[in-house]
Amino acid sequence: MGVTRQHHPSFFSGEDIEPRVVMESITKIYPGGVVANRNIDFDVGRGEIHALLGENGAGKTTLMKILSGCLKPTVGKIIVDGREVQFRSPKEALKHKIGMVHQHFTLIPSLSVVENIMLGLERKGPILDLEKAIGEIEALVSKTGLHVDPRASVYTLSVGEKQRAEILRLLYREAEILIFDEPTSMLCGSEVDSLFNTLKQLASRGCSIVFVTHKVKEALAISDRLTVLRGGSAVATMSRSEASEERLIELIIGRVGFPIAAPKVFAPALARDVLVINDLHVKDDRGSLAVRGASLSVREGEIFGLAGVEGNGQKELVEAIVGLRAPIKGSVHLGEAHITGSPARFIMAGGAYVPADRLGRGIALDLDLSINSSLKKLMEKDFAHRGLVNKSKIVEFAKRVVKRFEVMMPSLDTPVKFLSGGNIQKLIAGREFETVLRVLIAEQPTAGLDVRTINRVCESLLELKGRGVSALLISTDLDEILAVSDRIGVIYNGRIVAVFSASEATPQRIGACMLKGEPDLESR
Amino acid sequence: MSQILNRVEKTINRIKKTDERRLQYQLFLIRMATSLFAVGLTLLVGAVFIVLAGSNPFTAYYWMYQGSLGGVSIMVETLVRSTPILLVSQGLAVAFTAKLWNIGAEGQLYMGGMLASIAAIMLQGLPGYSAIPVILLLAGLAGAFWALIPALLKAYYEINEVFTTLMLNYVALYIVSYLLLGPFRDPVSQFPETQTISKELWLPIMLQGTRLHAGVLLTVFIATPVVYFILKKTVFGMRLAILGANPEAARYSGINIVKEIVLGLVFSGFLAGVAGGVEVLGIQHKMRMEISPGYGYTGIAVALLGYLNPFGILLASLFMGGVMNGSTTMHRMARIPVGMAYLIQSLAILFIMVGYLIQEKLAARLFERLEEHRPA
Repeated sequence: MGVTRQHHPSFFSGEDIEPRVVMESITKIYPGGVVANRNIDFDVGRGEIHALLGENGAGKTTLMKILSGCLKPTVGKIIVDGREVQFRSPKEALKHKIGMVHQHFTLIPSLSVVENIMLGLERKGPILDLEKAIGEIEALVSKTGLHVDPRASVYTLSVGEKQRAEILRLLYREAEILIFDEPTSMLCGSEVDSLFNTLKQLASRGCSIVFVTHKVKEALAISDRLTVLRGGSAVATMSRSEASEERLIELIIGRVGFPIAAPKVFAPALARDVLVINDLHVKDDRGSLAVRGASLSVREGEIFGLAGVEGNGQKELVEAIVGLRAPIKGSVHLGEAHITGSPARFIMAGGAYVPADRLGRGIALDLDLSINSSLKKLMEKDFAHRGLVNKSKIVEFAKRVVKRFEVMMPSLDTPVKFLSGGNIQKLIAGREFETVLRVLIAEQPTAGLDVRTINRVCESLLELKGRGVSALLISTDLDEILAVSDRIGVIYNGRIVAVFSASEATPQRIGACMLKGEPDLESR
Repeated sequence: MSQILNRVEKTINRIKKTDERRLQYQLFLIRMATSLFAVGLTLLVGAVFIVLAGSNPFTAYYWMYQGSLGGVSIMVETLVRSTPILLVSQGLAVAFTAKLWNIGAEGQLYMGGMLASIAAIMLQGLPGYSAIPVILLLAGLAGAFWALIPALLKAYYEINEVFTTLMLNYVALYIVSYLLLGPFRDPVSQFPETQTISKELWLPIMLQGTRLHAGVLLTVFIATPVVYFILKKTVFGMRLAILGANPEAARYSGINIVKEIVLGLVFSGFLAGVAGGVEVLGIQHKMRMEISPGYGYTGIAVALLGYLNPFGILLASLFMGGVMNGSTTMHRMARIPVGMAYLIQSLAILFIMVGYLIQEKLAARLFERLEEHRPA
């Protein structure tokens, strides 16, 4: 299979850059059946900066972890300098001069820069000559312009300096193929500029650079070539001159068409507001404001779609609504209840939530299916009376959950970890649909599901509407949002910048708004 | 037509049922096989070391058997030895279910024993049936308090409980040692220990001529089923299981994590404290530094060996108690070093853990096979 094929086809169609690394038909299936990479071809040339674009979950990081030796591909091969290689560890990848700068730094804060750089380097013999190493690093610093004091302790460094230390560590190990995973996510404006200068300089000295990002502008600013991943597949590779912001956004978000056209039943415009979010300010994990004064309201029996390019504060907004993240300002009301900052109050007020991070948040893998079905039911009297669990009630409920999306399982007391990824997804969606009383917060609810189940999800959403239950649908798939929403809000840079009714919403209009952060007034 | 469909439906249901039953049966077989495998391997590898120590493994195991199971009174002694381990590990099972790693049962046991002896001295003269429950309750509270400190640090400041509970063991030992050398030292004894508590406050002996005190029966017949009930049937137990399996999912489900962390750790501290109290009232009849040869630490291994299942823990603690007593006899009769007992205990833990790994793998394969056979 693929034995006769020497090079990646896009290499021939692209400019004549000498390829350093070629990844051929890489497929990665995680235990549990999630396909993170599907038959991806990728290559990077000498002195080239190749941007790898895609949303979170598109498979970028998986692909790069395979290239850097952290993961093994299920199928496919890696060719470095014309020779096929197999990595069992990042160390082996480094032997072939491949190194990765991770999104979250891997330095040890209490050690100095030079100690961090020397850590794990055995080739220098048993005696550690730090002074000599400092000299070498200083030479490297003056050669590359990556200014860091090798004697400084890492915890005293700024974010930009830490990143430079990470890069120095790789260069010191003579890496020439450098992978940067979302390198700008922690940096401020001027630090981004200096990083870009560094990257360009490294490339001009013959290094090959893979720049992983979901930020289109940055990719266009720095790269020679771009590859877009979506849903685990490479959807396009193009040179910088062929690329434009609009085209890339379209490729990233996907214009393939949503598989169903749901019959639309609009909620009455005069219905009462059920979920009211008022001037919400929320910080992200790193402490910067991700949501900056978002306000929106969802009416009774309405599906409200929230569109936006990934990373504009959706995650933090949702976590604040369901109570998992305390906002620094603003309030969330569900019905008459003030629910800000408490998952319990959110659930008691009739809320349900399908999280995007299904495995991390939505399920307890070691516990059995029936407990997982009624995770949130433990607060209800029927399920837990006087501190005792009502087993028959739980089993009965679990059967309903399983039935809704046809979860395939050996028995109700099977630990969930033995189910396939798709079935776990169905279980979580089923549980939330069965639990919801007032409003369902659905974060990427159809991601990773098969067409049949997507249809079921959409049917279930419409069925909720029929009962007067509302839904807030957060998705980066614009077609999905357009297919079922009554109203569509666009989130940009932490604010809801526009709300369209279904009749005035077109993909072009919303897409433009997602990119520019303001409603397109002329076409209105 | 509908009749035919009905019959098909029934057949499918029946196949599903038998499938399920066969699955349960196969899982049971896997568990039995791996347990036997572990015990066999322990004896085998243990024998190698006994040979290396210059003794005959058959003689060694014979005396080990004699010392743990060879006769009614000897079996009772094994039971008595297992009791504090069992109490400690039942408590730990509750905390460990929530992945709250309480390593401080030893210190909690000492605090319980100390307060029990102080209370027994204070309550001298009261009839046993009213004083003993109070004393045991106080012992439990002392252990609970000793676990409350790391629990609060964990719940509010996310300080790793492994360190705090472990460190507090030493603090507890030094506090007890101070009290035994100073204010509560028996003036007539030449050892650092409290005076012997009055006979009315001793746990009553249930079988004349043995040391089978009421605490043993209480632990086996009350504490074990109660902990089982708590873990399997109560909302508290289920919340702990969810917290242990995925804290983020617990938060998402509206569970008050702070409360569960505190309750889980405090409960385990309570039972460790009671274990200390039971040793004082049932065996030692005074508080002394030698009240525990590491029951608090052995309890950790036993809780894990029993797979956090209270009845599994009952078996595991009997096994541990048996090895402890058996190896003393082995030492006395066959001159095999007592250290061999620790070796055999450690081997058992090692192989049983390996057994669990194998068990998991086999179970996973079983489930996978089922998935394949099931039409999608």
